[in-house]
Amino acid sequence: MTDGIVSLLLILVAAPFIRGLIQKAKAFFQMRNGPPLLQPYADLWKLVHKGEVIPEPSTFLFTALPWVNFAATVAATTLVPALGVGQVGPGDAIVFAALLALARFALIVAAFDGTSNFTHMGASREMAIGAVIEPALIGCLAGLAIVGGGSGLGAIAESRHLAGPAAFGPAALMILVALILVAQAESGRVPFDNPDTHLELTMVHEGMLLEHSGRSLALLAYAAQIKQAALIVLTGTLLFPVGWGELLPAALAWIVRVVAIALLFACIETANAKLRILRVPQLLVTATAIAGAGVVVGVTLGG
Amino acid sequence: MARAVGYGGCALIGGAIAGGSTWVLLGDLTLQTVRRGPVDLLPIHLRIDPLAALFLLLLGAVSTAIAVAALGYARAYDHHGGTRLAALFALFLGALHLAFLAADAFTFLLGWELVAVVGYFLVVHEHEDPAVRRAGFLYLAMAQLGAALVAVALLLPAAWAADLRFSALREAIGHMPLLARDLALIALLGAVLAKAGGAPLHAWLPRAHPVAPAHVSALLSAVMIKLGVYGTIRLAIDIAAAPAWFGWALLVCGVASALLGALQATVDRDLKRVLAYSSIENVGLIFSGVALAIVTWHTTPLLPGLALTAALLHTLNHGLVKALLFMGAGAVDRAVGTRDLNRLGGLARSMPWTAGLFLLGGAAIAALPPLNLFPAEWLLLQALLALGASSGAERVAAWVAIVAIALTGGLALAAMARAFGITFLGLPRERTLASGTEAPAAVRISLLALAGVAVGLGLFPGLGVRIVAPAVEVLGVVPLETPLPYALIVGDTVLDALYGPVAVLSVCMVVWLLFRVMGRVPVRRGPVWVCGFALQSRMQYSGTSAGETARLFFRSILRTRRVAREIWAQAPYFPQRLSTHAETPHPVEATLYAPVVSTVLRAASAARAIQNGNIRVYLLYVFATLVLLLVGTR
Amino acid sequence: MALGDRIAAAILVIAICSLLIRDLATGIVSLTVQSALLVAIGVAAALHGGAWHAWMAAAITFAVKVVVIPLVLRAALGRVRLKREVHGVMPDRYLLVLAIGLAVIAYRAAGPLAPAAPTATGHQLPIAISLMLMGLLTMVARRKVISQVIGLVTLENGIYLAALALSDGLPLGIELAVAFDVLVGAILMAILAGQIHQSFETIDADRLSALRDRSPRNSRWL
Repeated sequence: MTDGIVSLLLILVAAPFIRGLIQKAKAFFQMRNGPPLLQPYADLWKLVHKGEVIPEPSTFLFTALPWVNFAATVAATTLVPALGVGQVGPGDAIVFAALLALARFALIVAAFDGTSNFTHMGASREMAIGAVIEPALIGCLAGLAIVGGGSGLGAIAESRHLAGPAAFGPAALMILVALILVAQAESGRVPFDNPDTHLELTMVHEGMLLEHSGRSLALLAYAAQIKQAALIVLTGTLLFPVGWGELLPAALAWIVRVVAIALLFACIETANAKLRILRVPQLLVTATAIAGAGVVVGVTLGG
Repeated sequence: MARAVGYGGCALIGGAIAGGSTWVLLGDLTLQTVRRGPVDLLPIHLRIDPLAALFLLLLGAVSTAIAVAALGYARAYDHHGGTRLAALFALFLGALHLAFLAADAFTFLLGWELVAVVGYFLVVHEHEDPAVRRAGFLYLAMAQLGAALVAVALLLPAAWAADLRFSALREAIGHMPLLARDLALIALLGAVLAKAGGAPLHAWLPRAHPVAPAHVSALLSAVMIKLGVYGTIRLAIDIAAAPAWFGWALLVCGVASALLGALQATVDRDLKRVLAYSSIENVGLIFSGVALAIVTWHTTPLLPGLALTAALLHTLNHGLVKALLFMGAGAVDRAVGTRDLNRLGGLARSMPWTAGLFLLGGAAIAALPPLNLFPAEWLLLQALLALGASSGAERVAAWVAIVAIALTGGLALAAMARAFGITFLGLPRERTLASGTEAPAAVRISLLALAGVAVGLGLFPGLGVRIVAPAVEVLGVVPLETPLPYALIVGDTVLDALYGPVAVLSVCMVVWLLFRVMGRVPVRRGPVWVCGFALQSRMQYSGTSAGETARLFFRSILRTRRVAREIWAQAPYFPQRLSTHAETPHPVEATLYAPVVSTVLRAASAARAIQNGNIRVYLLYVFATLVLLLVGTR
Repeated sequence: MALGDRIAAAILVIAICSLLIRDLATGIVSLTVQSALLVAIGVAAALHGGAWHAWMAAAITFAVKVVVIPLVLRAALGRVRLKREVHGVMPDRYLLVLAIGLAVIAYRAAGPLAPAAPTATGHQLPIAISLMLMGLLTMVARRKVISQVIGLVTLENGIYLAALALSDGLPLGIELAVAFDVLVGAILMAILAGQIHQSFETIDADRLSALRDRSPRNSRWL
C-alpha cells in the first residue's frame, strides 16, 4: 500500500521532468541546446499564476471538465504498477483504459464548449483517433494477459516477472512492440500528433486545448504530462519486469526504465515525421495486428 | 385530461409492476397461473420466475419513468390524436407484459405479435408524413418476418410435444431429430435478431425510432428490443439448451451489430437516429454476452454465469439510460423543432437541466466509469478474458472479440461526445434556430430520477449484480458473488467503483488548496479566437463535419457518395448554380437487402400475370378448382 | 321417374338452355321458369315435412327469385342498348358438350353421397350439383353482366336444391342470408349495369379489364 502511494507521488512529481527530458533529448538530436530540463515545471508555475479568459459562448463545463480530465488521469495512474507490484487502486487493464477514455471524453466535450473551429477540429480528430487507439491499447494489454496470465496490471507484471526469461518469448515481444507504438499514440507524440505545434494542420491534442488558459490550461497540460508518464512507466514495467523486492534496487530499476523509454520515445519522434491523418489508423491497425499475431503465436506455442 | 389519466395510470401500474417483480426477484419465487384463452383448445399459461421478473422490473421502472415524462411531453399531442396515443401506449405495455409472462408457446406468440402490431400503430402516429409511413412499413414488414420465424421456431418442437407449454417443449427438444431442432434454432436466431435490431436484420430500427414520438422511441429502445434478448435466453438457453454453433453465430452477429451501430452513430445526422444506432450497438454487446454463455455452457464452470450476469446487467442498465437519452432528445425536438445536428447548437443555455442530464446519459451509454454501463461492459470483457485464459483456438477468438468491443467503446464515446457537444454547446449552427425552452417539469423529474439511478448503480455495481443474480441462478448456473456493494470481484481482479477515491480526491484537494493558497487570479470572458475575425456560427464544426474524420477512417465501410451538379444556362464554362449531395448507403442494406428485395419483386411481378383484371377469368379459376375437386375426390 | 325427378330434370334442361340463349330478355324468362319449378319442389318438400321453416324458405325463394330479381333485371335491361349476347367465348356447340360433360361429372361425384331426405329421389342431388356447375359455367362463358347475374342465381338454385336433397332444407338463417346475398348482388349488378353502360357504352365484362393497372411496380421500397 505504501509503495503504491509512493509510486503515485513519484509519477506525479516526475511527470513534467519526463517531458523536459524528452524535449532535451530531441533538442540534442536536432543539434541545438533546447530548453532547460526543468522548463515544464516553470511553464506550469507560470500558467497557474496567469488569469483566465473564458470564451463568451461557453458554459460552466469549460472550467469544470479540466478537473474531470485531471481526476480521471490521476485515477488511471493509481493503477499503474511501479515499484514492485504496488497499486493504490485495485483495478485492471480494462479500468485503466476506461479511465483514460473518461479523460478523453471530458476533454472532447470541453473542446466542443470552446466554440472555436480549432477546438472543434481537435475534437473531431481526437474522437476518431481515440476510437482507434482504444482497441489497440486494450488489444496489447489483453494480449499480454492472454499469453502470460493475469488480468490486473499488477498481476500481468507479476506473472511476467515470475516467468523469468520466458517473458521475452516471441509472442510477448511482438505485443510489447505494439505497446510501445500505442503508448506513443496515447501520449500524443509524433508520428500521431505533434505536441509542440499550434498549426492547424498538425494539431490534435493541442487543438482541443487552444481556448483554455490559466489554471484550466495548467490542469490540462499537467494531466497530459501525467498520462505520458504513466504510459512510459507502464511500458517500462511490462518490458523489463526486474527489480522487485527491496526499495533501493526497485527505485534504481524504475529510474533506469523510465529514462530508457523516454529516450526511446524521443528517438522515435526524431526519426519520423508526423503522419497524414488518413495514415494514422493504418499504423494503429498495424500495431493491433502485430499484437494479434503475437497472441496467435503465443497460443500456438504455449498450447 | 386524458393524457393525465392515461399516462398517470401507466406510471402507477409501472411502479407496481416494478415493485412486484423486485419482490419476486429478491424472494427467488416462481408463480404461475392458467387462464382461459380465446379458443378453448389454447389456454393461456402465465408464469413469473426470476428471469421474467428481471425483465418486468426493467419494464416497470422504465415505463414509470417514461409515463411520468410523457405527462409533460405528450402535451404537444393533445390535439393531434393524444388520446389514441395514450391508449395505444397502455396497450403496448400490456402486450409486453403478456410476452414476458408467457409460459406456453401460444401466449408467447400472441404477446410477440401484439407487441409488433401495436408498436406499428405507435410508430406511425404522425402518419400524414410519407416518410413516417415508409418507416412504419419497413418496421411492420420486418416485425412480421420475425413473427413468422419465431412461430416456426416454437411450433416445430410443438409437433413432438404433448402440448404447447414451455415445460412440454423443453422435453420435446430432447427427443426431436437433430435436423428439426437445428432448423428451429436457425429460425429463432433470425427472429430474435429481427426483433432486437441485431445485424443483419436491423434496418428497421434506425428508420422507425426517429419518426416515432419520443416516449414511444424510448419505450421501443428500452424494452421492446429487450424482448428479443428475453426470447433468446428463454427459448434458446432455458428451453432448447442451444449447442455451441448457435452461440458462435450469435456472437458473430452481436459483434457485427455492435461495430456497425457504433460506427453509424458516429457519423449520422439525426439526433434520434444516433441514439437508435447506439441501441443497435448495445444490443450487439448484450447478444455477445448471451452468446458467450451459450458457447461455454458445458465447458467451463463459472464462465456462463459471468457472461449472463454481464448481459443481464447490461440489459437492465441500458434500458434505464436509453429512456433518459430519448426523452432528452424528445425535449430538444419539442423545444426547437428539429433534430438535425447540422442545425442545432447552444441549447445548454436555454435548457440547462436537459443538457446536464443528457451529458450524464451520454457518458453512461459510452460505458465510462463511474456510471452504470461500465460494470456491465467490464464483466463482459472479464468473461472474454477468462475465455482467453482457457485453451485452444477460442483464445484467439476471445482476443478478437475483446478488440472489437474496445473499438465499439471508442466509437460510442465519439458518438455521444459529438451528439452532446453539437446539440448543447457552442452556437446554434442555424442562425434562425428557435431559442428553445426548458423541458416540462415532468420530463425533468423523470430524467433526474433515471440519471440518479444510473449514477447509483454505477457507484454500487454490486447492487446491480445482486438484482440480476436470481435470474442467472434460475437458468442453472452459478452467479457472480458480490460481497461488497461498491466492488465487483472476478477471480483475482477487482473493479472497485470508488477507484481508489481517497488517493484521487486527496490529490485534487491538494491541487485545489494550492490554487487557493496562490491567490485568486482574474477570470474574465473574452471573444473566441478565430484568427482575429469575429466568430460566426457557421465557422463552427457542424454535426457532419465533426464526424468527418471518423467517416474518413472507415471510408471502406461507409461508402459515402458525393454528387456535385452544375446548373448552367448557355455553356458549361459559366455555371449558375452548384449543388452537392452526399449520401451514405447503409452497408448491410446495399449488399444484403437489395438483392433479396429485387428478387422478391421480380417474382411478384411475374406472378402478377394471373391477375389480368377480367372477372370471368377469376370465376374460371374458381370453377376449374371446383371441377378438379369433384373429379379428384372419388 | 317420380314427379320430383321430372321437375328436377326439367330444371336442368332449362339451365342448359339459359346457358345457350343469346337474347337477354329470353334468358330472364328462362330464369323465372327455372326458379318457379324449384319453388314447386320446395313446396312439395314442405308439404311432406310440414316444418314451418321449409314453407318460409319456399316463400322467400319465390319472392326473391321468381318475382324481384327478374323485375330488377328487366328494369336494368331497359337501360342498355344491346340486348343480346353477341360473341361468346367458344361456339355454342362446344358449350353444350361442355355442359353435358359437367352433368356427367356431377353424377359421378354425387354417387357416393346418398340422399338422406325423405322426399328426395335419386336424381335430385346430382342435378343440384350440375346446376351449380351450370351456374358457374354461365358466369364464365357469358360476357354480359346480366348473364352473370343469371348464372349466379342458377348457382344459388343449385345450392337450395342440394339442401333439399340432403336434408330438410338449410337452416332458416342460412337460407335467409344466402337469398339476401343474391338479392343484393343482383340489385347491385343491375344498378351498376346502368352506370357502366353510361360510362363505357358497354356492359361487356371483358372490356372492364382495360381498367387494370398496368403501371410498373414502384421499386422504391424504402
